[in-house]
Amino acid sequence: MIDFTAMILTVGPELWLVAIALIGVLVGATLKDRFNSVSIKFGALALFAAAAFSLMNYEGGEAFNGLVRTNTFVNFAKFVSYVLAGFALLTSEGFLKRHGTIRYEYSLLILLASFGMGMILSAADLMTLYMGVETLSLSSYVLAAFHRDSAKASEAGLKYFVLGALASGMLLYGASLVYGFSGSTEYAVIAAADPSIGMMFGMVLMIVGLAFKVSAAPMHIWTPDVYEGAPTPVVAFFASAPKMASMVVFANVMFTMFGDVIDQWQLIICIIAGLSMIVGSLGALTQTNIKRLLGYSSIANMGYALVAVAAGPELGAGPLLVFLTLYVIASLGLFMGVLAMRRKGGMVEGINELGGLMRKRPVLAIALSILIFSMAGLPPFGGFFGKWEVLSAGVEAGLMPVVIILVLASVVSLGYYLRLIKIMWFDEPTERFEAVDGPVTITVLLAALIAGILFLFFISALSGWAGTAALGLAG
Amino acid sequence: MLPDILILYIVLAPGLVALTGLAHKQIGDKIVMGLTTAVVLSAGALSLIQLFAYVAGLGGHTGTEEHHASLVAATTGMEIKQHVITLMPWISVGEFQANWAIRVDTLSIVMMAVITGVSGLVHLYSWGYMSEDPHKARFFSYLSLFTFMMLMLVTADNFIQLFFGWEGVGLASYLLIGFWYQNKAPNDASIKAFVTNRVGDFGLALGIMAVFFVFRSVEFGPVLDAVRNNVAVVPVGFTEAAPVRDLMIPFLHWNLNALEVIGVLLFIGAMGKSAQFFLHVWLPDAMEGPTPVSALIHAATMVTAGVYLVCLLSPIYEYTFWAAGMITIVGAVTALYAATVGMAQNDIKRVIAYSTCSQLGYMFFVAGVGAYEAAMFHLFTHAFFKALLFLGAGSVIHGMHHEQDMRRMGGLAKFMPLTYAAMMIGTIAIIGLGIPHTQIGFAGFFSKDAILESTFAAGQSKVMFGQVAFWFGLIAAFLTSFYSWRLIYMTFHGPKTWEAHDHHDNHALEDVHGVDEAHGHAHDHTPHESPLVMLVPLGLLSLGAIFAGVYFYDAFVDSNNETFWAGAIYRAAENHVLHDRHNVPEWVLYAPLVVTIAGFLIATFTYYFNRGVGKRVADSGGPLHSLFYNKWYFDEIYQATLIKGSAMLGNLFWKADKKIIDGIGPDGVVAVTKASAGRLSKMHTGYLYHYAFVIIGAALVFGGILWLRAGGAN
Amino acid sequence: MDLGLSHFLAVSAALFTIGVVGIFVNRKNIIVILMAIELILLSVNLNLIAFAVFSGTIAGQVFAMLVLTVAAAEAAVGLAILVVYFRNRGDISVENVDLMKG
Repeated sequence: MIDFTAMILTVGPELWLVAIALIGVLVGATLKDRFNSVSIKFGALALFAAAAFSLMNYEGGEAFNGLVRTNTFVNFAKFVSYVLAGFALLTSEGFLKRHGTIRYEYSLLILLASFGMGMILSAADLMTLYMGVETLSLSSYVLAAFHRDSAKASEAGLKYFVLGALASGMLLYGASLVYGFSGSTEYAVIAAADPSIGMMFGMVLMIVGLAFKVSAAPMHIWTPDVYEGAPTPVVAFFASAPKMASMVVFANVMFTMFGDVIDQWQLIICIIAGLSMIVGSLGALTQTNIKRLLGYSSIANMGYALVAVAAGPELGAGPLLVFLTLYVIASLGLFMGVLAMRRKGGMVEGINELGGLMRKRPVLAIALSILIFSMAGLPPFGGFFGKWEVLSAGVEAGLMPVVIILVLASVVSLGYYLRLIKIMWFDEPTERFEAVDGPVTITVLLAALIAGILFLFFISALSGWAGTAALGLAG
Repeated sequence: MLPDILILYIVLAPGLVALTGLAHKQIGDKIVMGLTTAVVLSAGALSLIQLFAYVAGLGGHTGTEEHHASLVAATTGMEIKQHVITLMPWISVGEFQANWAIRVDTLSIVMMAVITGVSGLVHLYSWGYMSEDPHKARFFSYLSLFTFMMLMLVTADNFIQLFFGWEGVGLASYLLIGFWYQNKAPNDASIKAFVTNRVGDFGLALGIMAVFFVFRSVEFGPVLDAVRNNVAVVPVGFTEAAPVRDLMIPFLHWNLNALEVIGVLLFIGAMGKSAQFFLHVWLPDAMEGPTPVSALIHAATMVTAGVYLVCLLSPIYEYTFWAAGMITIVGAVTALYAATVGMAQNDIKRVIAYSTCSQLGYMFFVAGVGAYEAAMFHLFTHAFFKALLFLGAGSVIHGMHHEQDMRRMGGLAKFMPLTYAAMMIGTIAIIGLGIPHTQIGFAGFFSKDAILESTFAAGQSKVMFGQVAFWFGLIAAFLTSFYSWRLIYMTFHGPKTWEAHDHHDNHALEDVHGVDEAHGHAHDHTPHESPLVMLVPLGLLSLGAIFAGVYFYDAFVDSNNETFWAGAIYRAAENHVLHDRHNVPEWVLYAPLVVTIAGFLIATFTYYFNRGVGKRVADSGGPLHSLFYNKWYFDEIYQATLIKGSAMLGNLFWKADKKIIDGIGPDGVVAVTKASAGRLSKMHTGYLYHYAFVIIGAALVFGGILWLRAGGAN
Repeated sequence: MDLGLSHFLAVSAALFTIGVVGIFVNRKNIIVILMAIELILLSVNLNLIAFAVFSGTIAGQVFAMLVLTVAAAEAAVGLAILVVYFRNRGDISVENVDLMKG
């Protein structure tokens, strides 16, 4: 007998999101343009509600004969991702309005992408994983090219699509090999199967595909271009919620499906982590476009997160959640700063445009400074503790070479983080920015408060939650 | 004891309400002022109720038993009653554990009452005093922030939270000293306070590290218990356990007693915050801040944090000889030194500031000889009369349109009778007037006599430093009486010197205050009595200055003291100082009264009947007067040695660093990094086929790695 | 000669390689890239079906059906983006997709 209530609860947030998205399609078709602006709030509300849903069944469960299985580890990530997706959606309204591209499809695409995030997080089967990845990716391609009259945006969308499809193909090919050599698509069965060389090749291809989704080097190569070209609110979304979800899925796949063959993949993950940190921190040094710079910065941060993945489920799962939570909040906050960079003539993206921000808009400048410091991992801001936990996990797992790279990369990355700070605080003021949208201000302040300051005091609580959540992996 | 929720309210509400200052533009100054005042006043009322209930029930913890962490100290068999509300874990790294917690015991209850009580009145007072300032919301939220931080400090149950509060009150103090930041003097003063406190805080931080090093814990409970019971501990890096009181640890390159090292280091922290000799230089300059701030932070609460720390750590100081001796000597020297300087100052606030310094010296030396209760008692009574004196002085300054020089005052008693009465009460309280063997006397009488008697008794029986401290204290009592009456006479009696001067002399100062201009012109420059909102706090504090001594004497230092303190203060079995003070010779009881009256008479002679004498002494420029007037040349000496020296050293290192180290190290590395960054950037060509190639190449490489490893395994 | 699993896998691997190489060797037309992507997905399908048949499990066939659906969606999205791109740039030559670099 199948317990339908438990099943519905397990996939509740995703069912809710997809239902809302489909209703949105109908409402949009009926109301047309009148729905454009409303849909933003509508979608954000739906996302917050989904976040609440994911807490309701926090302990997790199983559904659809093992196609879907949740636990506290993924539900934690799901909650954070949905909340951030909600904020990312909420803050995009002003930008889209001014560019005349506010269309309800935007909200629906964000909802569907979030649905994809939820699906990959809940996946306990290769088929669910693949479908989720494609839902997330296809929505993302369209979102990247959402400004269809912009050459840059459409090029970003095209690049993202071609490379993303290639990566999906590799992931899928890897999945087919894993299926073929283990005889099943279920994580649990695969984990128990005899690891043959064919299955290991499948695993490597899956690693490549997943590394592409989290933009870890050398599969990061699309990231700077897409970040530069895509509309800023879309990038803010890319850099927050899906980052959290994809990275946790990456960890979940490695931990649950390939947990027993960690010595096979640890080296590869370490190489990816090391390369990401090096490429991310060095690449950002020469950038003058703020979005591109943040893109490189996110590559470096994904490298740090992968150190936690390489440390294995026992040591790395908790620190991974702590680090990612702090990072994605700070990342969203910083992109809010980019959204605030608006002059009479439209958006500006050069980092020099931030000159003298401290004198023109002190509150914004202070909030951004806190976020930058936090992301750079300077104590006493929250980000420091996240990095610290990852570093400890790496040391405990005996991954000294990557840990050394982590420290060096952090030092190098200070170079560009501090450059931003210097420009904001000491450079000659440029023309004042236009007024910032209310939701954007609130989000940037909230992010600075939470990721930068609040977690300094509550870091034990956060590690506690994350630690307990990570226990969900074991059973 | 109050229910937990009310204690949480007392401690946390001032912090929350301080945040409203951030939104003052949206909600208006008045709402910020009203909210902060209401919250802090209500917290003050609650904590006073708590204190009174506590005294009435004498250690009457009425809560349910499971709330109490009852510990029994083996040596004395005394039960330690405290109640810890753990808010949440904070830092947890290996053995290093620290929580956010609120520790409620007698010490913190007394401190909570002092802090919130005085702070509430100061908030109220500031409505009048700061009425013309354009940045009222900022001022009030700083005050509330300070209150919150101070409460965090006194309710900490571990060294880390204490350190947080310690630095937090420091921050609020610097912000408020430099409140009128448009002016140079307040800015300089706040920097001076900051730098001087760095020295002390360095000691404190080292002390906390030493505590962790020895005890492997930074929580008061385990640490102090270990000292009380002489538990064997294994310091970090040691292999053998040793009883903590005899433990020797390496420090610099000597092997020293662990408790002595910890005691001295922590006391250096206390010296900085409490402005003790050598680190006192910032306190007089801190008077550049608004007067309510001086009353709250630089008289009643923050500067007493050092005394509180010593009393809190009484188990440690009970088993140190040199650290306790250092406290005694530094305290005694400060008491005397500050009193001599106070005699020669002309700025009304500086006189009171030096007086504060001197009174803090009293508290320290009596704590040093082992009568911690007497120190806390003086801290408690001092809070009332010193806040009263400062707020009274503030009332005078307000009435005189921001004139602070006593030479330009005089004859004010007629114009501001209520302020005069309050200042008289404060003065009589600080000089400690009262009749021995009776219950008649002002607050200062009870606490100061308890201090001098205990010190004398200790000097005879226990600690040799006690004798020195007693005589220093006695002389300081004489000087205290002299300068306090000098202040009263110069300010309130005699001819009106203020009419002879053009009020606008001082406008340079006022302009930067921004709005005083309007104030100055609106009136015809006659002094006026302050508004009711400033007089009410004066009245309430006057009550405290009169009755706090007699009411709390029994509980704090007399027959009921053991039940009252309930183990919050620890005394070793052989320490009977507080008891022995009843057996001192009769002349010791009368000596303070005699010197006080002598001081009064001389002041009356020189400043009341022969008003010119004081001025003539000052003008003659005698060596002693210049020494006192120039504060023993401390600022000059520091300027010539420490400041110039460190500037030279800094220059030397800066140049060496620039040329040698940077050239090879950072600059070289930066060049390499930049070059590689450029090359890396070029790799991102933008072409799809390059990108795809990179991805596929990576997949091939990873596959190859796997293949090689699998081959290796076979 | 019996057709074994390895034959199917070899064909599928060859198809996959052709698809992958097609993406980065082709420098002329983006539509060719779309075709290469289709080729990759088809090779996977072949893999899945072969595995399903030879291992006697049904999951592979179900998976193949899902992949077909996704391939259709992917083609639709890809072509849509391509159309948008063409409208902006007026050509779809791979060599000219380099507005952003560094």
